[in-house]
Amino acid sequence: MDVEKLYLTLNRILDTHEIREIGLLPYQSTQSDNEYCPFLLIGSNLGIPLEYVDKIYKHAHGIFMNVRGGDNIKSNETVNLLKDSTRCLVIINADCYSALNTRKKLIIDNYINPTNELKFIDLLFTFPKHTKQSIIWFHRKWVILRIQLHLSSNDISQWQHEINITRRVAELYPKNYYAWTHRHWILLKITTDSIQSKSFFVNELKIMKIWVQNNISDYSGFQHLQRCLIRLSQCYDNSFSDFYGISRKDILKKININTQLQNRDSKNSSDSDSIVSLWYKEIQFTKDLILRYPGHESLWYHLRFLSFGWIWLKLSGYLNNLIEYNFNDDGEIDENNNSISSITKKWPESENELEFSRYCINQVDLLINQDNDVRFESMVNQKQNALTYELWISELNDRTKKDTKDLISKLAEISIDSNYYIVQNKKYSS
Amino acid sequence: MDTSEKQTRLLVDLHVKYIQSLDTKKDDLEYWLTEHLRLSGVYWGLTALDLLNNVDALKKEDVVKYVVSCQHDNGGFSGHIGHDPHLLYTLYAVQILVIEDALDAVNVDKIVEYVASRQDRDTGAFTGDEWGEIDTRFSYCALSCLSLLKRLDAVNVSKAVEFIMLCKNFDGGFGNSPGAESHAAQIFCCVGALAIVNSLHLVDADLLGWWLCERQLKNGGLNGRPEKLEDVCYSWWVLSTLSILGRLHWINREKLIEFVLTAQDSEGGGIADRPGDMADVFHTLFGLTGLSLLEYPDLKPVDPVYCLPKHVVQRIGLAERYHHKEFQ
Repeated sequence: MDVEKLYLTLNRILDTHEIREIGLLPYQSTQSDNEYCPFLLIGSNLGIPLEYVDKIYKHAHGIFMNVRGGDNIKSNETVNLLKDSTRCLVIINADCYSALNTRKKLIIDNYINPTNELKFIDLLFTFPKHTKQSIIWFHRKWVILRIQLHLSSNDISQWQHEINITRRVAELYPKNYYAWTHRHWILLKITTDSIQSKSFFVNELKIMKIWVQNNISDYSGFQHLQRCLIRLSQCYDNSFSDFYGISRKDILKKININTQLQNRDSKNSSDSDSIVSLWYKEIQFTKDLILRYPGHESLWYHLRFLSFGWIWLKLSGYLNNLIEYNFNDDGEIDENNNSISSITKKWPESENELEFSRYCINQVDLLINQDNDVRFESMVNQKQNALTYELWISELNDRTKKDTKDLISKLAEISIDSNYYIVQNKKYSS
Repeated sequence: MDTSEKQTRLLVDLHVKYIQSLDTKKDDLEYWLTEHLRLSGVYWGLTALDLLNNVDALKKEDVVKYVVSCQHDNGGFSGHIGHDPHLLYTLYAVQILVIEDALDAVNVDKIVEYVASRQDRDTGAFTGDEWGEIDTRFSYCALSCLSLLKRLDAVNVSKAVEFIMLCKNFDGGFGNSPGAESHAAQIFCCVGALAIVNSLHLVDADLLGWWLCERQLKNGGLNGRPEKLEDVCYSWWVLSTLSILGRLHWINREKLIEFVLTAQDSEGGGIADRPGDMADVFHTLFGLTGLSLLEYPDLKPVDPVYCLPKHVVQRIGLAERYHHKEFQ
């Protein structure tokens, strides 16, 4: 098949149809009388036969290199050649950064409409492999910022489409790092100072709680949920930490938290209570998931983050006077109408966290004793994760060496993956 | 590839042939899809060959000539002739030239100028190119590049460190930007960059080391984030960081070696991301560097900070910027 014809046909399809989904096909269209043959066009879906992909790419590459190498004066003809060739290059290979750079230049010079470029990227994102390239996500960000230059209002509704895109991509390609960091970025673009933004964050947190329940092993989702929690806390108190750069060392050495400690008394106590309630409910929610879906590292990691956040809340004065809020109304029902086990409702003091771990370990031991076949692997994982959480809590609270030593020796016994606990155990024993 | 029998040894000759053959596959779609980053491919291949004691398998003259042809007037390098300059490819170019001992073939001052111009004065972060993408990967590229050129004075190092530290998370790991999830490859970039500027004391080493060890799975392989699949390239991102922190012995060495060896293509050579998949030069290098850190025989030692053969780093007189506590 003539390459020039293939290239022109593909561009004609893209010019005359609003394509919504794109895919590579292991075969070509059998309707040879069709004007778009060998491409397959069904409704708004376009299939490119795999057989011709390299031919089209090489051809587009030749045109692109030839035209961009020329002088800088853009005639209509060269602009069209650049638009079409970069479009073909990027459809086949979203990592082709020079083609994306050229498209940015064409946007600056008003040859490409940025809103149409966003739609074009939407189309690219229907092809899973393209969503794993950081450069195309950056291109998207750049185009959005470009559009915003000409918008006077910062209307939150404009971000809804971005949220939808990241959600679709995260489902197409689970744990997609760039989709989730893009979504974190959206949270930062929305300020925390209006009623609309607060209801946006409330809603986003709600969406994420539902999402993680359906994607229980996807830690990236939990990470985003954490960012939502932080952002919503900032709606209540704009001095609330973004947690950038804060880790266990800071908590143990009580550094990077001093500024929050000051002026705590003057804080609106009902806002503080709202923040504490938010985090407390999240901890309860996570423990409930851990009991319902045993053996998931992601859930336990999320709980690690929350326990860390809880200590930070305490050190920063949000849990002033150690008031134990009465959230433990008997008979509380969650969204799914399940009664919540009382162990999940305990106030997240370190002793209660340790108790939760031990409760999970006991449950596993009971189940394994009853029936050896019951989802054995997830049970073993649950036990290991629970012991690890106990170790995490112990170290975070700077507990006695003996507590830590006992835990490490237990973990060394059951750990068959890394050498970590074995080495630590030797260190403590010597 | 043949997975019926487990590979138990490193297929040195096959890997050398595999890397040599990469440039002859111009009819493959894969060749064209990676055309824009061919310079990276040369770095991955050349470093792998050096570790395999076969650096001459690619002709030095050709390699240097090619690298020179990728430099632009502004000092930066593009991923291939005709593409745009970018910090990623600028580091790869410098790494290749250092291996070949051929820095005098290019205008070093212009490279320094280009790299320095990538730093954002306010945040200390680095942008990949003039379009402004920010990522901790680029912080590593800039600092590694300038360190190899011995021109760290050209940027604001303390600001650069400040930005990297903003990307540290509660688990001791690092993400690509402040607030982003910890990711083993980003962790290598951040810890490597901190090592280069003598700031390892800022790393929560015990906590991070623990998190990194939790990347090892039952099959011996390592993943890069919780509940992700194992992948040979994490043998590098995770191990190099543990090595920099002097905690390499926290990993189950034997199981990881077995995993990497099983991902070799026993017919065509090269190493894949995991057993049974297609080999590529990226995973070939990071499988080999992983094995090298694990002190596998037949391989030259690799420097965990610069991802260059150790003898190269020694030749240019750079100090070792990592802690020593390897396998006993």
